[in-house]
Amino acid sequence: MTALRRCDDRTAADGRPPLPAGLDAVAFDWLAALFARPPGAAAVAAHHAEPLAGLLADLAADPDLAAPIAALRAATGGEADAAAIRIAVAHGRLFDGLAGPETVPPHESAHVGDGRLFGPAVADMERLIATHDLGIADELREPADHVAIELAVLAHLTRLDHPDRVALAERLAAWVPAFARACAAHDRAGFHAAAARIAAILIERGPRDHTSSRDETNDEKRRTR
Amino acid sequence: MTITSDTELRAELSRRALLRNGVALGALGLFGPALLTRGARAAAADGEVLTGSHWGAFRAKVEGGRMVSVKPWEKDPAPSHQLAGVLDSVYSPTRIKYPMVRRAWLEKGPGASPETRGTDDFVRVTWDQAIDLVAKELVRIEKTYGPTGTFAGSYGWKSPGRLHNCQNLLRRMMNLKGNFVNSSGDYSTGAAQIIMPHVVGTLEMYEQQTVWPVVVDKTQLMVFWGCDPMVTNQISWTIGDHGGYEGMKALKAKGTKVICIDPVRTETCDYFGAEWIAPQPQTDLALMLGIAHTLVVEKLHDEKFLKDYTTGFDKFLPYLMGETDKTPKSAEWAAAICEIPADKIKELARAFAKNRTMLAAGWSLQRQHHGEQRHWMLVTLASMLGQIGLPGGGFGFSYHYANGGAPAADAPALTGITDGGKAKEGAAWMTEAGAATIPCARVVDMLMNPGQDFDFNGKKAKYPDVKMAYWVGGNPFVHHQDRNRQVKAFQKLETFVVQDFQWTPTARFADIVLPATTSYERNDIESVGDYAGSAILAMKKVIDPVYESKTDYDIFAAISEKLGKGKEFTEGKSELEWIRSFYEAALTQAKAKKYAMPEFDAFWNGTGVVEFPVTEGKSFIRHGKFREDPLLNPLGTPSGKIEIFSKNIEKMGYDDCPPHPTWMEPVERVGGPTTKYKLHIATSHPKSRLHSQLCGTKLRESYAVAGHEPCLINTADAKARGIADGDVVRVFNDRGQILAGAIVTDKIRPGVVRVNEGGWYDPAEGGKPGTLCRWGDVNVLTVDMGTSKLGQGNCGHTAVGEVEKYGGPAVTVGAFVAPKGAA
Repeated sequence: MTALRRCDDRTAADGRPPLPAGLDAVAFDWLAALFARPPGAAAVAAHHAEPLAGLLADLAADPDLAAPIAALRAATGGEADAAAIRIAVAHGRLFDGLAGPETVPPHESAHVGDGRLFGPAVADMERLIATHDLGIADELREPADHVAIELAVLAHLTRLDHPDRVALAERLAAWVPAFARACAAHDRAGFHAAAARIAAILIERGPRDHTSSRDETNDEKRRTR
Repeated sequence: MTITSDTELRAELSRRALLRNGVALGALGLFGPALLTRGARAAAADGEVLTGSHWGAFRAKVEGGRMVSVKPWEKDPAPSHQLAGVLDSVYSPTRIKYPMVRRAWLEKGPGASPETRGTDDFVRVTWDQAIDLVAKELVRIEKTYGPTGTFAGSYGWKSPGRLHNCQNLLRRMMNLKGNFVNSSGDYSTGAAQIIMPHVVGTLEMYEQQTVWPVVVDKTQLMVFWGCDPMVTNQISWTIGDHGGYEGMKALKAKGTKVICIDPVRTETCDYFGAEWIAPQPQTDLALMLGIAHTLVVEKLHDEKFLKDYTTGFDKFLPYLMGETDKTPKSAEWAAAICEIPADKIKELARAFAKNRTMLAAGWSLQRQHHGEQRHWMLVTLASMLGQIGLPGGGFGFSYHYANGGAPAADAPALTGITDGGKAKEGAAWMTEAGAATIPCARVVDMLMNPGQDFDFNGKKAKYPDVKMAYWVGGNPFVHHQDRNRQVKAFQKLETFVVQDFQWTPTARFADIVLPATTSYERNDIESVGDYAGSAILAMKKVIDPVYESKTDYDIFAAISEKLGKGKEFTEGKSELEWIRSFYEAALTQAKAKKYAMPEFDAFWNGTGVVEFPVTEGKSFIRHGKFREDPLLNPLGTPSGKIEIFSKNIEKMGYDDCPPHPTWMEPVERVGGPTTKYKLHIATSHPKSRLHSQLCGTKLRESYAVAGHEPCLINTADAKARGIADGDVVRVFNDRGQILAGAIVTDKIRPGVVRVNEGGWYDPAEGGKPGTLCRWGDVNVLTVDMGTSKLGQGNCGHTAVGEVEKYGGPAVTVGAFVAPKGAA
C-alpha cells in the first residue's frame, strides 16, 4: 500500500522529499502526547493497530526514521500492561525528577542558555501561544517550553500552514537534538529515546528558514551557554 | 493503490481521515485531554519581592510570573553566595511535580515489596487520591497497631516561616488524628544539650554568647575549637542576619591573637591568619585534660573561682592527677593520644591562663562517641581558668552557629503555629506531644529493635513498634548515620510518606510522595537573626506554586479535613489571617514595651520589614549576672553552681557517662586499640550547602571534583596511595563505600580525610545493601549509635576508613553511558 503523496513545493533542509501532507502535523501531535504523559496500556497497544500502525509505517518509509520507529515498536510491543508500566517508570525517571542527577528535563530552558528551568524560552513560548489565541490545558501543569507544548503548537501551526511554524521549527531544532541525545544516554526502556529521536528528525525534515544555515544558528546558541 | 479487503479499506479510510482532517489524537481517546486550549490567558505579573531564607533575606525579580534573579537584601552585612542556589532550587529539575505512589504499594497494599523502595518505580495520582490514601492509612495504622504505630518525629531543617512550619503542622494534624511517636533533641547538639543542663543548669547551646563587641574589646586570645564560623554562619534557623561576620571582621581588624584547633586548616583559620593546632579527631578531650593538668601542676588554675562558682572539682582532681587510675592526664599522656606535642599543650595552658581567653567551641566535638564529655570538660577547663562571666572570657558554644554573639535587638517575640501539644519548660519550641518520644537520632534503633529498653538521661523507656512514618521538611536518607543499616531498617515500615519539594534521596525511598511548595511560592512571616532578632520580615509569595505543588499548610489542612478535623486544624483562619495573628501578638508586646512597630497592614503592604534597635544587647556578657552574684543569680543546677561532678549523673550509673568529665576510648578511632583503619573521616558542614539543602543545584558545579563530592586528603597520605589531585577515589570501611573526588592538600593533617556531610545519597542499586554511593554521601560510612546512655546523640563524626584510587567503570554523572540499542 503506498501512502498518498502530493507534489509539494516545500523542500526539507537536507533535500529529502517532504512528508505526505498533514503527516507531519499528526506526527507532532502524537509525539506531544507521548511526552506529556506516559501512555496507558490502551494507548501503548494502539501503536500496533490502525491508524497508528499505519502512521508508523508511513514514517518508517523514511530511511532515517526506520531505526527509531522500529525501536519504538519494540518498546511498545509485547504485553501492553507490562510495556505501559516500563514506559511510565522511564517517564518518571527521565522527566519528573525521580532519578535525581540523571533527570533529563523535557524543557527547552534546560538545554539552552544557562540551563535553569523556567528560563526566557518560557516567556517566548507564552507570547507565541497568546498570539495564536491558545492556552495550555489546566491539567498540564508544565511551563510553556515543555517539549510536548512546543510540539503541540508546531502541530497546530503546521495544520494551519502558518508562517510562524518556520521560526518555531528553528527553535525546536536548536535544542531537541540535544534533548534526544540525553534521552538516549539515560533511557532504560528505549521508548522515550526513540520518540525523541523521531521528533528530532521530523523537526529537521520540516520546512526551515534557509536564509541562515542551521549550523550557524546552533553554534551561536552553543556559545551562549 | 490496490485494496484487497474490507478490513484494509476501513484501515486506509481511518488513516486518511487522521491525515486529511488533521484530527488530533484526542479523537482516539487514548492519550488524555488536549494539551492546548482555545483562548489566551492574562499575562502574569512583573515585580520585585522581598522575602527570606535560611541564607538571608533577598529581593527576587519576577518577570511574567517567573523568578528570574535574586539579590541580597541591602541591609545584609555579609550575604551568602548560596543565594544563587536558592533560585535554582525553585526551578530544580528534581522538583516533585505531582503526588506519586510507589507502584507495588498502590497495587498490592502497604508493606508490599519493600525491597523495591528506592528503585524509582512510582505512579502518578491525583491530590484527592493521595490525601485519601494518606488519611485512610493513618487511621488504619492507629486502629491496627495502637497509638505508637506512626512515627511523626520528622527531623530536619525545613524552611523558615512561622506558619508553614511543616513539622509543627504535621504534628498539629497528628494530634488531631490521635497519637504518634515524637522525637526529641536534634542532630546539631544532641549530646551537649542533654549534658549542659546538668552542668550549667540551662540548655546553653542556643543561648546568647558574650557579644562580639565585648569580645573584640576585651578578649586577648580567641580560640575556635572544632568550628568554622566563616563557613557555618552563612545559615540560620530563621532568616540569616550574618552579624557574626561583622564581629569577626572587627576582631581581625583589632589584630587579636586567634588559635584554631581543628584537623583542617579551615577558612576561619585562613581568614584570621590564626595559629593552626591539629589534633587527631576524637581526641580533643585528651587535649583538654592535658591542658587542665598543666594548669594544676603550674598552679595557674583559679582556685577561688572553682570554690565560689563550681562544685565537684575536688572529686574530679584525683582523676585528673592520676590518683584514681594511676594515669595522670599530663601533657605527655595527652600528647600520645592527640598527637600535639606536650610542649605545645603546656604552652596552650599558659597562654589560656595568662590572657583573657574566649574558648569558642563548635558542635563537631560532641557528634562523636562519648560526645557529652567534650563540652563538659570545656566548661570545666573554663572554670579552672576562672574567666567565665568576665567580659571577653570564658566559653561560648554558638559563635559558629546562626551568628550567635551578634548583639540582640530590643524586639518582641514572634510566635507561630503550634502543634497543639503542651508546652514544655525550656526552649520555646519544645512541646510535649505524642504518645511516646525517642531521641531523634535513635530512629533506626527504634525500627530495628521494637520493644527493646533504652536509656536516656536517667530514664528508661521502650522503643515503640512503629509501622508507618511521615516525614516532612527533612532528609534522613542524608543526615542519618550508617546508610546501609538505615535502608534495611526503613524497609520494615508498612508505609512511608514523604512530603518535600524535591526528589531527595529520602523521597525516592518513600511509598507516598507529596509535592510541597518552596517558601517562595507561599506567604509567611519570620524573624531575622536567631540571636540578633534584628527584624521581622514579611516572606511574601514570589511566584505561584509550580507544577501541582501545594503549601504545607494546605496539605495538612486537607488531610485534617479528610479526618473530620478540618475546622480544628485551620481554626477558620486563612493563610494571611494566621500571619496577621502572629504579627499582632508581637505588636501587643511591642506596644507594652514601647518598641516602634507599625500596624499589620502598613507592614505587609509597605516595606514588608520592621527593624528593631540594639541597645543593651551590645554589652551582654554570658553568665555575667551569675558571676556578679551566684547566690542571687544561681544556675539551674541542683547546687546552683557549675557542676564539674554531677550527683544526678552519678546516680544513673552509666558505664559510658561517668559523673565527671572522663576520657574513654571511642568505639573506633585512628590509633585506638581496636581500630585497623588508618584514616579518620571528618564530616564537617559544607561551604555551599545547608547540610543537604541546595545539593541539587548549580552550586554543586562550583565544588564537585570529577563529578563527585570532594574528599580532602593530605599530600603524604595521597602519595602513599598513588592518588593524585582530581582522581576519583573510593572511600570505604566495613559499613559501606562511596565515590569522591580527591583534593590533595596540606590543609588537612595526615591521618584524616574530609568528605562534607550533606551529599545526596545516590545508590548505584537502590535498596541493595552495600551498594556503592556514586556522589559521595559520607553518612554511608559513619557509626549509628548513641553518644552515650545519657544523651543518645548522633555520632556523625565517628568514622574511620580507607581511601583508594577508584578503578571501576566510570559512573561519573554527566558522562553519557553508552545507550543500550537506542537509535
